[in-house]
Amino acid sequence: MKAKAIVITSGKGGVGKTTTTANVGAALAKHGEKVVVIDTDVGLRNLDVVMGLEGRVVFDIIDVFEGRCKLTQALIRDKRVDNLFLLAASQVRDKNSLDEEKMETIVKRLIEEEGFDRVIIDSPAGIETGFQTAACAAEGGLVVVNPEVASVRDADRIIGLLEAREIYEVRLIINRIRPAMVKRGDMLEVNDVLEILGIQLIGIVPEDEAILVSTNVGNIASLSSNSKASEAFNNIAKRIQGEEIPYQSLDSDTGFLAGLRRIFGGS
Amino acid sequence: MWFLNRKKTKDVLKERLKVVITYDRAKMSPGDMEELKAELHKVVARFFPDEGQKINVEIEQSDNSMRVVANVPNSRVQQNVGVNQSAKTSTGKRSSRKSRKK
Repeated sequence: MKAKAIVITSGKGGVGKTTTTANVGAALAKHGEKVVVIDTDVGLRNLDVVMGLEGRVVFDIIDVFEGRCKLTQALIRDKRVDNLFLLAASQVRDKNSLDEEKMETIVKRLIEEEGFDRVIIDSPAGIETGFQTAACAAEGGLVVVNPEVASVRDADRIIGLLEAREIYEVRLIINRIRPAMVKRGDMLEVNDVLEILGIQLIGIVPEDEAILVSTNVGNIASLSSNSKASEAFNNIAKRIQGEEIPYQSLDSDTGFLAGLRRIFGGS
Repeated sequence: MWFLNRKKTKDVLKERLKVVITYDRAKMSPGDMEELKAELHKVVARFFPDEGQKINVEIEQSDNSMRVVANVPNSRVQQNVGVNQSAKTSTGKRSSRKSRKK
């Protein structure tokens, strides 16, 4: 993707925006970019805890806006990988403390003065002010969708709103897909979701317990685990960087036949 | 066997999503559509008393436009020549999305 500033959004809450921000952001840094992830969910910040950096937040984005600290003082360096930084949201203020003009200024400074290759902006749920502020400075977008009714509908709305903001480099991440359910026809397939939403795919992330396990202890799966979801997030980062990475097979290894194959040593 | 005939739940969902998203994109609710149909029936019935209930109204989506199409059969004419009235709704760039799909 050409876009340096990328908003991660979904419309619906709970589909994995923050997890995607942390994992894709970390994977981009692991693959050589200087990355800052910004939490714009003022009042309900979570990117800090998902990344395990909650103990190190001193200043947040509102402090920068209101001049209580320098931009660089609010950037928390993640020590597990080179060139990954977090800019936290304020937990005690409300959404009206952020405005589009200030947001645009900060993103511009991060790219032009601080030399960041990528600014990943975690949007709050919804389509109101919080989302609009998160999207205002973005040149590209990653829409996170789960293969279920409410998430797909909301994703369609949010894609329309990104277009209305003239953000055209928009890619789709299908998150939490369950291969066994897809196989028996009880979950939308990747192609079904693409047909409905009509935008370009950049990642398919299977439902994976490893994500929750990593998050429990403040680890970022794309840095620390070898799970399927971790591989998927790393592949998304590489595709953002322009590499052509084939999609992983979603075949479930847990089915009855797969079990038999394991027992009898078939392939 | 029963499981060969079972309609996949994901196919039901896919159809439901297509309908609901079509209305979302048209900025129209299914209720608006029912009202439009009811009004059209009244008007059409004045001119074609026999056809009032036979109008078919639907939203059609193509790559570049979205239109509400009302189809009114006219059986005064021997052959069933349709009077086709189309009204374009404003859709902006919205429905051009499909064409950008890779």
